[in-house]
Parts: sequence; C-alpha cells; structure tokens
Amino acid sequence: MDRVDATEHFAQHAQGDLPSLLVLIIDINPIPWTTNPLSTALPFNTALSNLLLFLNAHLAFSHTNKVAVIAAAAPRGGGAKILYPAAELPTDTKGRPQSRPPQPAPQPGEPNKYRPFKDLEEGVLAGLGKVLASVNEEDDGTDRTVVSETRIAGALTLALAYINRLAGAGADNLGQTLTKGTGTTEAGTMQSRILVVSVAGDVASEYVPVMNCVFAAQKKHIPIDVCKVAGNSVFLQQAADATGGVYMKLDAPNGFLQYLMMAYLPDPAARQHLVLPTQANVDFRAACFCHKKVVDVGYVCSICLSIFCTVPPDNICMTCQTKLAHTVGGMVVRKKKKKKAGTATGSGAGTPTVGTPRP
Amino acid sequence: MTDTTSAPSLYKKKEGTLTADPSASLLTWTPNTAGPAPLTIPISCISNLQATPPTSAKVMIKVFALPPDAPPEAQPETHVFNFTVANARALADAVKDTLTTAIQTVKAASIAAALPAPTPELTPAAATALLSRPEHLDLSEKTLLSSFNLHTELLQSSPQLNRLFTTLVISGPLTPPQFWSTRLPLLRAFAIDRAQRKGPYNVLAAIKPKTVDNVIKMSLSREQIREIFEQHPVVRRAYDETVPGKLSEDGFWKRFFGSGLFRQLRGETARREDDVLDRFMDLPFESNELHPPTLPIPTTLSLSANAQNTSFTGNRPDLTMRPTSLPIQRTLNSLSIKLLDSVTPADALSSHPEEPQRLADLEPPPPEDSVRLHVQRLESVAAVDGEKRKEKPARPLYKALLSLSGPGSIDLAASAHPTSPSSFSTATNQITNLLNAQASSHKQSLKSLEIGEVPEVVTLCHGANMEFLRHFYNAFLSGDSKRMSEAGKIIGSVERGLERSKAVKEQLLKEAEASQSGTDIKAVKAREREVRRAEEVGGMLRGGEECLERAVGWWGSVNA
Repeated sequence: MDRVDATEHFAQHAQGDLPSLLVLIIDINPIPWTTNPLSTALPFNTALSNLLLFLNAHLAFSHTNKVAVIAAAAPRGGGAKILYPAAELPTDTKGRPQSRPPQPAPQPGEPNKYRPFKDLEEGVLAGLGKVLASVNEEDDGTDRTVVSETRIAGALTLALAYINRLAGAGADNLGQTLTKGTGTTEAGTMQSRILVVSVAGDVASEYVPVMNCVFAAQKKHIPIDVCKVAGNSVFLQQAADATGGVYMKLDAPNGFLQYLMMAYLPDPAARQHLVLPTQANVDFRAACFCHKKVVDVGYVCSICLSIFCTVPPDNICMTCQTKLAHTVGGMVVRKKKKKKAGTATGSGAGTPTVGTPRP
Repeated sequence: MTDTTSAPSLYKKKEGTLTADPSASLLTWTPNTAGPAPLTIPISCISNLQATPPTSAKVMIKVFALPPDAPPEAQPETHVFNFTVANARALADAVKDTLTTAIQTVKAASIAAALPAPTPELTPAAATALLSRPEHLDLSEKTLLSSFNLHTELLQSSPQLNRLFTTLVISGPLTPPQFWSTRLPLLRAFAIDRAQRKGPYNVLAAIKPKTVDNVIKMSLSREQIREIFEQHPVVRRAYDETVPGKLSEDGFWKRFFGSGLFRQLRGETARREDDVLDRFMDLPFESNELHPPTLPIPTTLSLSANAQNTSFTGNRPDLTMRPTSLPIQRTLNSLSIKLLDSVTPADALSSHPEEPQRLADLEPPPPEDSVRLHVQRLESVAAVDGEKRKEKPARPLYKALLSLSGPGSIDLAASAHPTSPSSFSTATNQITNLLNAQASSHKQSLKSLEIGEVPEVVTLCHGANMEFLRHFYNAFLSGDSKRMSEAGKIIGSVERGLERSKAVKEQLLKEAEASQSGTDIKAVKAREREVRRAEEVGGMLRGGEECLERAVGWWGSVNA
C-alpha cells in the first residue's frame, strides 16, 4: 500500500543514518587497579580520561549517537550499576525516590565545553563517585571484602536490558523491520554494541549466566567487544567470538587511548566492511556445571547437553534428572584406570572439545 | 587380511598342508612326505569353492580351478581336500574364509581394471518391459553387502569410488565387506536407482522414421512390438489374420506403417489406401471392449452411483473431455485409460473402499507427545568453590579509587599525551599485526582457489586415511571386546597412513623442485613458487595426520 501512494520512503531509514548506542562496561575492581603493574602503567584517572575521550569521539560521530556507562564490580547492589545516564528520579540513601531531581554541581571554568561532552563527563564522574562512596554505607555491620576476580554477568545483563529498552523490543542490529499488529512496518530504531573494559579474570561459577547473556546478544546481533587491560578471561573470549566482537589483550596498557580509538570505534554498520583486529585463537573451554571448573574433556548429558567434569552421582544428570546408562568407552579398560573421558555407549556421552590451540 | 592360513589336510589320500596365501594370491598344498608333487593354484584361477556343511561329519573343501592356459569353455578341474585332524572344522573354516576374501578381492580387481564404458542407456522400450516394482527389491544389509553385481556396477558408475576402492582394497589391507560396510547408504540408493523403470507410454507416438541415404528406415524392437499389440488390439488382429498368410512379417510392418490404419491410430485423418490393412480401420471403435473395472470404485468417487446427486450442468468439461467425433481424441482417451489401468495405483484406496472419509478439521488437536524435562538450577550443587580466593578489605581500596576519580584528577587533554612515547606505537603495532593475521586468514580462502586442482595422490591419500580411521573407531568404540583384535589390525594401517602422508608430501616437494630447471632468476623464482605450492598442498594432509596420531594415542593408552 505504501508503495502505491509513494509514502514508502517515510518508513525507511537509510542504513547509515541509524543512531548507534554504545554501552561501556567498566570493571572497577579495585585490586587490579591499585596494584602494580597496572597502577603504574595505566593509573585509574588516566584510564578514565581516555575512556571519556573515547566516548566523546563516539558521540561526535553523529548527533543521534548515544552512550551508556555501567560499572561492574561495584561495591553494592549486586555488582552492576548504571553510572550514566542517571535515572530520572534518583533515590536517596534509603531508596525512597526524591521529589525533585538534584541539580548537578556547576563545574567552574568550563563554559565553552560542548554540551553533550560536558553532560557526559559530569554524569559519569558523579555516578562513579556515588558508587565508589557507597562502600562506606554498611547495612549489615560486617566489613566488606573484595576478591580479585570480577563478576561480569550482572553488568552484561544490565547492558542488554538497557539496550532492549532503548532500541525497542523486537528490532535487532541488522536494521530488520518489525511488523506491528496494524500491518505497518517500522525499521529497527537503534544499532547497539557493548564494550567491556576488563582488568580481572572470570569467576567460574558465572559460566552459565555469562553464556546466557552471550546467546541473547548473539540473537540480537549485538557485538560484545572486550578490551582486556589486565588479567585472563576464557568466557569473555568466547563472548567476543560468538557475537562478532573484537577481543584484544593489550600488550602496552599505557597506549590505552590508541587501542580504543583504533580498534573499538567502528559501529556495527561499519564493521561489516572492515577487517577487525580481533584475536584469532579463541579458548573454547567450558566450565563444568557441577564444580564450575574449566574443563577440556568431559561428560555431556545427551538429553539436556549439560557438561560435567566427572560422572554425576548415581548416574543421574543434575539439570534434567534423567537416569543415564553409563559405560566407559566400550573398550576394555584394563587396570581400571580412568583414562578415558571418551565416548560412552548408552545415553551418557563424553566428547573431547574441538579446540583451537590456546593462546 | 593379508595373513596366510594353513591347515593339515589330505589330498588324493596323501597327507600334507594346505596353505592359502592372499598376499601372493596362491593356494598351495605341500605334501608331508617327499612323494607326490606339491600343488599350486593361483587364486585368480579359482572359479568356485565348496565346503561340506557344518553338520556333516566329514570336513572337506572342494576347489574348482581353471588352469590358466585352458580355453574358457573347458571344464574346471576339481581338487578335494580332506581335513582329518582334531579341530578340522575350525581350521578348514579359517582356510575357507581366507580363500573367499582373496577370491573376492581378485575378482574385484579384474572388474575394476577392465573398467569399460559406463553401461549404455537402456532403450525406453526395453525399459518398459523390465517393469520391476520397487517393493520387490531386497534392501536388507546382507543382500546389499553380498550382491557382487551391485558392487561392480556402482564402481563402474563412479570413477572416483573406483579409484578409492582400488587403493584400499586391491592394493591395500581392506576387504570388500569392510569397504562396503561403511557405504551402505550408497549401495541402497544405487540399488533403488537401478531398479527404477520407465512406465508405460504411447509407443506409436515414439516410433519415428529415420532417413538414411534417402531411404526411410524404421527400427522396431521386440518390446515395442509387444507394446503395440497390447495397446491396440486391432493391430494384433490384423497381424494374426495376415501373417503368415498374405504377408510376411517384414512386409506386414512395411505396409502397416504406410497404411491408413496406422495413421488413424495415431489420430491423423486417414485415407483408405492399403486394401489389406485398411479394412480394419472401421473396427477400432467397435472392438474396444470396455475395460472392466478391476478395482471396486469407492462410492464417494463413483459417478454412476451418484448420478442422482450429480448435475452435469455447470462448467463445460475440458477440451479433451468433451464428446466429439474427432477420432484423435477418442484414441488418446482410450489409450490413456489403457495405460493407467496397467499401472498399479499408488494410494491405498483399494484397501479401505467402504470407510467414509473422515474430516478431521473440527476435532481437537492431538495430545502433545513431548517429554517434559525438569531443569533445575544448580546452585545447591557444589556451591563451595574449593579454593578460598584471596579476599582483601574493600573499603580502603575503593577509597583509593575514589580519590583517583575525583573531578580534579581527570584531565582529558593531558591524558591524550602518553606518559611513555613508545606506548602508542606499540599499540599500533599490535593492532596492525592482528589485522594482518585476520586479513591473511581471509585471503587464505581465496588463495586456495589459486591452487587449482588438488593432485589426485593427495586426495587418495587423505581418503585412505579417513577410511582407516573410520573403521578403526567403529571397531574400537563399539563396546565389543571381540572387535578389539580387528581394531588392532587396523591400527597398523593407521600408522602406515602416517608414513604414507609423509611420503606423499616428499614426493610433491621433489616434483616441485624438479619441475623448473635452470639457474636464472626467473627459474629460481618459479621453483620457489612451485615449492611453496607443494608445501601448501601437502599441508592439506595435516588435519588428517593429527587425527591419525590421536587414534594411535588412544590405542596406545588403552593397551598400555
């Protein structure tokens, strides 16, 4: 119908004009940031400045581009907090919404700063300050502790939810049209991507939640880029590989700004035409479901495909409660050595993972 | 299966040892005493092999062999070997098995070596005569594996498969049953393909005269004649009445194809010219007896039974279905009816003629047949992580971060200048290296197009390696401890596969080196290019080699 009366062009958006949303997840785990070598090579304030420059660059590309900043490993609130943009109705310390939004403290000496840049910088720093200061508030009287691995699943989920809210349900990054009930079509409203700046390793117990986030991002064609300033992560490599993002472990952390500007700036539309400097060898190991150990060769339930490092007790799969028959390999196991996590006849089967060589 | 089996036996009442040696392709009988001469029969001369059934008391093997220089029609000589030792049955069976496999191998070799042109297309008329319904095809595993004809035809039809077969079975250690056991789907599809036949069709329309040297020639095969008689009984009557009385057979056909009867049957307007045959022209529509309905027509479809409810007003019938006096139409319609009657119906109407049609639209949907999975969250299991991770007090650390992130310490302009001058260039280098690596892996797929044809020796080597691996893993992982020995035999071939790949690679390199002679720059460059290409092609075998090594590793670890 639209084509007949020539109103079709109102509904179309040229691909290049799609606004782009960048969600930045900063890992503010204090242990890596305050210990050598990272604190000398790349102090926290320098890293923050570089990130702000990078976000300004992203905003400068188009008037419609948007940015969101999430902190992971925040001291309270489950470890994930949105720093920017701040919620419209901020809550006070007890969680009750305040009646009027507080005015941001005016910064002296910056009257000529480009407004969006100014808002971004002030918002991020204010939010970050609030989050970091919240460690002083204790609600249960115990001394808080922090470990050197970061839980990243909460931040990923928060980022995905934010993207979902902004981009509209149903639209994905390929700009595919979604059809409303009335028969009109509406092009995808926003292209989005996630950039994770990570300084620490994975928590193995988070394998399942992280993989869930990765699959959700895969479905929506949201690339997850990972900038590994320090530390080693297996799950983030898989996340970047599965979603088509860029994974880089920085050789020279003090060149942080250069890495950001050169490798992480293109948006999803431009990436289709570019060769991405992502790490070629991906560590595809998974963590077992029972002990959360990262395994190379293990047992896989043939019903629900959950991975175990050893034979589950009573031969009952732990997720789907199926009774499994189990014989090891069918080969004559002399001397009862448990050599093989090889295939098993019957319902339980183990598979060696198809692995590319680990870096 | 290249091991020889031997057993003590009696030949012509003399004691000796019967030895079957597949590798030398010989069956020999050496006497114990020096008296009679030893008997040597090349396995390729053995035409038949018989043995006494397991239930009989006597254990004998009879071998029919054609001496190599005898004419093919001569009677084969028989040699009878008696086994009288204690475990005669087992020994005799072993010898018999070795002999059978060796004979099969030799036979397959001779067929594959000949490799005539692929079997010519069956003429359509010949095809119609060989109607064999697919239901009568025996597609069981045993039949497929033992049908030698099927194997040879399949090998003839696919030269690639033939090459593989030659490499693996004739010059290699695999036996034909082993080779075919992993290719049962291929055999099955080919057997079904072979058994397909063309259905009945209008023969008269298919007969066309060929003009050779200004002489009109027409060729008729027996099957076509038979079809004509079936489809047009008038012609049969004419034939019966005129041959051998008035006309010879050849004469009959000559006149037939020029007569008006022929043209009338084809549907063209015909004049009466030929006095002999044209008196039958009036008959076609009288002698067409109404075909009796061979199947009971279900009441829902029968027009006559529903004549009360059927109104013949409405849309006019199709052009071909109107009652006209055009002879061509009547001919074609009656011909189509005849053709259809001769074909068995595909649907099962005949099985339930009386059951009324059930309309299932308004019935409730069928109950779901899925299996419910109860998936649990695994928090309870092994929540303890094992090792205690190092915990540090949080507050001072976060305070340190807070001090670093205050507005005063954030200076965007200053952070754009690196503290150490080389850090930016290190970063750039790392990024460009990664980009190059990624780009070259993109180019890799393009480069393989430059290789062009992969040399056949590489394909064969890889195919052989994969074949051995498949058989090895089939035996190894089957859970059957009896097949362990089989796996052990194949592991030898697997190891040899590794050596073979190495040999192939070396051969490729040698050829590349030798391909360009000369010492000038151009030749040197060309040689280098060839060597690189040979290395790349040889590198294609790398994946297979890794799998072979892994298999050898599994075997070694179990047997350790």
